[in-house]
Amino acid sequence: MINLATKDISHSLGKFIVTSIGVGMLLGIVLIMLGVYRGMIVDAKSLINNVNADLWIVQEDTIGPFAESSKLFEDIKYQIRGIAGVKEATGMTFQTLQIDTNGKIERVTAVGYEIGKLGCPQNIVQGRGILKPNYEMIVDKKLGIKLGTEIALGRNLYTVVGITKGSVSNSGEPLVFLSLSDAQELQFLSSNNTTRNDRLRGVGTLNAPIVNTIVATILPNYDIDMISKNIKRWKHKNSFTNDEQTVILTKNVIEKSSKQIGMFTVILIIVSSVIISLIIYTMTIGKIKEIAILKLIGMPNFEIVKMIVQQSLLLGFFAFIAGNIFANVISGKFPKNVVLLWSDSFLLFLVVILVSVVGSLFGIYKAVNANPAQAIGE
Amino acid sequence: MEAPAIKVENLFKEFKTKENILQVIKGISFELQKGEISMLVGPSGSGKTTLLTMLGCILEPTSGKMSLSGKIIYENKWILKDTRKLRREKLGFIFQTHNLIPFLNVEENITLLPQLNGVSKFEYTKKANELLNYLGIEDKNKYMIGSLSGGQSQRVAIARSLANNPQIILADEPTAALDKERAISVMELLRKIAKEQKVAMIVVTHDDRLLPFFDSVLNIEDGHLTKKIIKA
Repeated sequence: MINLATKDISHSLGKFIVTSIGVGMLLGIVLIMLGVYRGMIVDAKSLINNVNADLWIVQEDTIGPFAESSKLFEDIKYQIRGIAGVKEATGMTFQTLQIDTNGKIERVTAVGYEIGKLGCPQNIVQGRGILKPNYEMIVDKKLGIKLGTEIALGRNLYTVVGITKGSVSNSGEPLVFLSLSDAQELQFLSSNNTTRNDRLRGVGTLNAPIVNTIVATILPNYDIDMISKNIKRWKHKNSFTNDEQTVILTKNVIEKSSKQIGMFTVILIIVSSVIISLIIYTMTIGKIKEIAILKLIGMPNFEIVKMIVQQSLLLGFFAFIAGNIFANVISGKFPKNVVLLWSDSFLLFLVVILVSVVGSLFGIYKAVNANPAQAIGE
Repeated sequence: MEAPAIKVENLFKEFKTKENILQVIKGISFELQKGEISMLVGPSGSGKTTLLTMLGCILEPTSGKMSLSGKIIYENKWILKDTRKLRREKLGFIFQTHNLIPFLNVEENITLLPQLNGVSKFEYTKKANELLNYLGIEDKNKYMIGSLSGGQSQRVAIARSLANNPQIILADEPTAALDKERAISVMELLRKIAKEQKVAMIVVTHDDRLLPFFDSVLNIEDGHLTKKIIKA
């Protein structure tokens, strides 16, 4: 039996291709939106994964260092190191900065870490890690800064010695890495004038170094939760396991943004569904005379329904392919991380198939009710 | 004696409106023999299209009786429930415009019905080639409909109406869209088919110049029909 769906498509192939590409671009945007959402979650976890600590110790009654600000003395790390089961404890700072990259101001998150300890950048693709305690920095490739470039931060110039790939903060900003001492100076050291004014006010100068968090790793066979509880109780600090910190970042920090993106995605899927349904309906209505003729000469409804459904599915399938190509081509052009997952693609494919079938129902209704007598008396 | 190709007895069709009942066909009776070609004429609104759609098993009559080759298909209700199957297997249709399927080529348009009727590929391809040869358009079998002239398209439409070996062909002004020369050529062809293939034909036309091609005239006026034999 002749396949009427493919015959009709090949007869107006150009129209079908343009329609598929059009619908495909719409589906591509749906995929991009899903990718932006996934990217936010990946970005949120990126820094935590890079540090790879078991415990995050922060200022008491705060959920820092990402969701709230947190300050604590660096020497707390010695007390933490003294707790049974703690393998390593080290101070870290996190600070949002604006840096000048070839005349373009970029917003970055500066990470201060102790050289050779937790928090070292894990994904250096060019150059090396920081070796000197001062005036060296590592930047992310996204900033487009070359090795050896000198960048002014605060009162000093820093030389770029390494470049990482895919290092971003929870808000998607590229990371720059500094030695802890440089980062502390940048964040906490007051200018001379401020120090003089503070002295006149009677405010003492704070000499003890400060960090935003102390990260620690725990030896095997020790209960991380128990150690965390002990730190909270006896050291008067707040302490989070890595999983808790991940939840804080993904739930508390990016929850609203991700919900926003989720809402946009849902609306876009609904709009796409309506458009696909309308296109299929219009395609069917455009053939209503031919359908009346087919019914008149005796074609059963089953064959007519099959033609409409097959065309809908073919349109959905090719639009889905076009959408995937479109999404993969443009995803790299977005300023924020866009993570395209095959699982999302597959989910969208199922939605497209469902929408194609449901969308064809209106056309099928019209076709089944088309009066074959339409073909007579014209 | 051989049963007539089509026999209609006391056929009525009423349309119910909010205010009243409109009787369009008022007790029509006639019969056509196999190979008989009849002209259906009547003024606008006389019930020609209604009669044609009832004979084509598209519109259900209100009452009466219809038989095809002695087999009753309607007697106050459809005897055969699947009227679409009946159309597919027993009837042929030719329209004012060719009404071919534009996304199928000539051969596919002709073989569509045999394929639906479960005829083998060998058989339906052979039949299509025979018909195209018979109609003098054998070189057009792979052409798309849009690339044919009006006369060629109407020949393909005739071939399609014959592809299922119908017992009766219903033609609704098949020459209206053609010039005089082509109209005469098509009528000659229809008459030849009726006689050679032993198919009864009812042809709606307003063109009196085509009268010589018909065996009889079915004249419908205000829902009443009279049949006049013009050739013995």
